[in-house]
Amino acid sequence: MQTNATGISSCLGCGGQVTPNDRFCGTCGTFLADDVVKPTGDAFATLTPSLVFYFVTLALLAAYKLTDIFPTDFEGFLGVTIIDTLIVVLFWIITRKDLAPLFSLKGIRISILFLTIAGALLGCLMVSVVADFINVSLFETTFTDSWLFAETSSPFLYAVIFTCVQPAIFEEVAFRGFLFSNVQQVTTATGAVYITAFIFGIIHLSVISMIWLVPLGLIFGMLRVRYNTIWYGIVGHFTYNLGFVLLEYVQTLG
Amino acid sequence: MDAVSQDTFAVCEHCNAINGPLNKYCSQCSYPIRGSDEEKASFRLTVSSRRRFLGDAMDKVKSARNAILGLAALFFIFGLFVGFGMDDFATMIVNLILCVIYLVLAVWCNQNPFGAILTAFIIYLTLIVVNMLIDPATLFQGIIIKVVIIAWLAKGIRSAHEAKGYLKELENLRAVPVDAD
Repeated sequence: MQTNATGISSCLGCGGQVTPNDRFCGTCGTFLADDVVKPTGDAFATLTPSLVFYFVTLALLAAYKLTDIFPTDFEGFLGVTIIDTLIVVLFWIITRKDLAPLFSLKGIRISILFLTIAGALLGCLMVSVVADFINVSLFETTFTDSWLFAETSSPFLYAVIFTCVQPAIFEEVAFRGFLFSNVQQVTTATGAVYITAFIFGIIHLSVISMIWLVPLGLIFGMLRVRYNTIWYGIVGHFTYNLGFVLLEYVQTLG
Repeated sequence: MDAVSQDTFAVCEHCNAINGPLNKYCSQCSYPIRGSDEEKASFRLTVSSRRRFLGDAMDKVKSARNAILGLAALFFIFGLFVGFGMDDFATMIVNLILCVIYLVLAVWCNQNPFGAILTAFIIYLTLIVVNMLIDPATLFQGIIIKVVIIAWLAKGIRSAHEAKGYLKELENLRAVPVDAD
């Protein structure tokens, strides 16, 4: 719809006069709304990038956790982490223009950042109590992978880099970044929050841990929608994971 | 006054909007108020075909929701079987959690069928991949049922997506079906 100086509009299709309340041109029947109906298209065609990313990452992580393809020592872990990171970086580069606004530091509020950190620490404490209880009573296994770093020159530093910094940045860029944006093309923002939270949970390949991973993904997704930034998610994710490393560090000291 | 408005204004037969003297098409729903009988029939055909497509798509969505409920039931039964039949309580808990997740997805299917069926689809495929890597033989156990469930859910995802398009189109034509949910 084109509007001239006198406020009378004309239809772009036929030039016929239309008033601001018109939804269709009375002369030719053309739809006038600015938000023309999104072409429906095939849902799977739109979601192809997300599905490719998800199943490639799933194949990598599942091969590492469930088969003998990768060595179970630190070098095997390092190799998988590097491949995983490169896959995220590849998708990050492809979608960098869409994701750029999410990295803007403008509008970041210290109060919300503080609440995110406090909430992440509280969540970490609650989950560690629940997880310890479940693991001890059901599986008799330890919860974290810190033994991986025991042989390295600085176990604590390596644990922080590989279990706090790396997941906080690259999992958030994937699940609250490009996967979220892609899924949002075919559903509402709320729908995208729930879908990405579930797949964030299941890709950790532990059904039990979905009890806390899905709510965690929901919170980070809601923060992304509410404030249109990925920083609260990154900071929250880092703090949450750091909490586990610190808890374990304190336990080994004591 | 009545005679003048008869000549200059026209009430749309389809949506009851009042249209100006020059309008061939209704400015609110695009019904050809001053069009030929063929044009009017063509508009009605468009509306009725979209309603039928929407109805068909919603049937497939409901069917996919039943598949999700069926999977929840399977996890529940299998969980109890391994728990009390084989004393494997860890596997039982895992299957009961999956049962709860699928029940949640079936409920969510009423609000956002596309999101719920897509999530159920991805989780189901993930479970197949995980089981296959733990024991490759599991891939072929009940392979026909697995393929049917995957195709069933994929059909539901497509249909849920198409249904949104038809609903939007009908809204634009001021022809939302009364029984749409």
